[in-house]
Amino acid sequence: MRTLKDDVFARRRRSGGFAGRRGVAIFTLAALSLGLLAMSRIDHPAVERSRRFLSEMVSPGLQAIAVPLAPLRRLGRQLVASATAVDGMERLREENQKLKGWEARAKELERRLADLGTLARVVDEPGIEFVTGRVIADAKGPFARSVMLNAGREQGLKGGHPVVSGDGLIGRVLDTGPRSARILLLTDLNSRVPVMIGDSGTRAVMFGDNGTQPKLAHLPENPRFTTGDEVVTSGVGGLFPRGMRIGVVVDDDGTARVKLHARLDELDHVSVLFFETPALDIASEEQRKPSAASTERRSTVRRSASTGSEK
Amino acid sequence: MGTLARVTPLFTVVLSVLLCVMPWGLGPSFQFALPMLPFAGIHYWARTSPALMPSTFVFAAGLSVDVLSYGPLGYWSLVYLMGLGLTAGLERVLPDNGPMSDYGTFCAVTAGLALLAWACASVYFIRFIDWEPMAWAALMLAVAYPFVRTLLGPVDRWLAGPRTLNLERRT
Repeated sequence: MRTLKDDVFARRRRSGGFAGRRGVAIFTLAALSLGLLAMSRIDHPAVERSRRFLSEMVSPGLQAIAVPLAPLRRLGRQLVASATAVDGMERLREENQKLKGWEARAKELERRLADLGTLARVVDEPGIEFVTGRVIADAKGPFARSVMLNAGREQGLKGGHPVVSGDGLIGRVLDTGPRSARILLLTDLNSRVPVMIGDSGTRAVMFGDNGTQPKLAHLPENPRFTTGDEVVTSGVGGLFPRGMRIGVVVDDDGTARVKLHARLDELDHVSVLFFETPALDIASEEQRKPSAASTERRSTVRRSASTGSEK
Repeated sequence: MGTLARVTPLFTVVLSVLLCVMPWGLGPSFQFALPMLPFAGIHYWARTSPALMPSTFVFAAGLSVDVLSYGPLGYWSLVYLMGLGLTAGLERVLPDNGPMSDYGTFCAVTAGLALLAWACASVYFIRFIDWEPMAWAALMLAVAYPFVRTLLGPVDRWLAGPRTLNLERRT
């Protein structure tokens, strides 16, 4: 009987359709999935905790599988690249000619800026440290636009750190585990970046909408920019350093959008800048609670101020 | 061989889950198609050996895709389970008498699945999302299924073979 149970015919028996025990199991698990979906919709903290735990568990497996599959990934990229190679070559030739002109202008401006900086005794801005990691997973589907990086808290990453590729800004660190981090891309529905546009420095906010080109919103009444103008970070709010290149303005049926310089679907190695975000440097709830001593001190100061004795 | 036969279908689905979240650099057209890829394996094993593709495992596979793609937990598990339910339901209507019947079933299930996935995402966002990427994903999955079947077929036959011989010897 054991042989009959295990044989190939028993193995290929009908599942009993949707009505049997299998149907009940599928229905129960689908209900559980719906429950999880509802919890995700309301951003329940337990969902985030479990996601972080599971991501950290799976990331070594992804890193291990990425090594033997690297030639296949390269092949995939080459196939896509070869499909657009002819247009790309022409575009690159034109860009190269423009860049040669810009190189000469940039050198001249750099020299002039250095002279002016010396005259005005401008304090040098400190350089930003960074760490480079490899993209090990790529979010797909109708929801998030994010990637997973093989570097985390152990490498010094924190939530809010800006992330760049060779072509420009791509997003910021959203969540960190000990050895992996999730990067929220500029195209994600939740991405908001204060930007400056063109020579006029028009201020706007770049909104992601899960499409390929984020849109520009909160523009002034008479915006002074045209298609093709450069879009860079404005540094407003302190989330990103000022002047990081993002893309160029494009017109999408009357809506101003940004064509990103970075190709977000072809990310391989990216750098995380250790830019400390003043906007996120908010004291914890405990730290914000005034202690008895500080309350007394403050009330003394207030009393002194009201009587004029503080002076 | 018993353990190997039980583990192999699960392994192929786990592998497809890992492959679907890897950064292939294939462009935005594949954004929706790749997370649906594990369903090709789930459908194949659910048709050929339903006992080797338990619904709890399908749920876990979907949950893994949710975690790795940073989507809301429960979305892909719900989509895969609905696909499994459709496969089991259609199995009673369309008899399993060859590759063409299987392919027909798969195409029907995939079309239904794309519609359900679109509806679920629209309900989640409380607005109608663009349906074209979903339709494109279903089409790509339908094109990919014969290749998946070609890859899994020999594995299935290899796993089934020794036990068939064992049965013949006893009878």
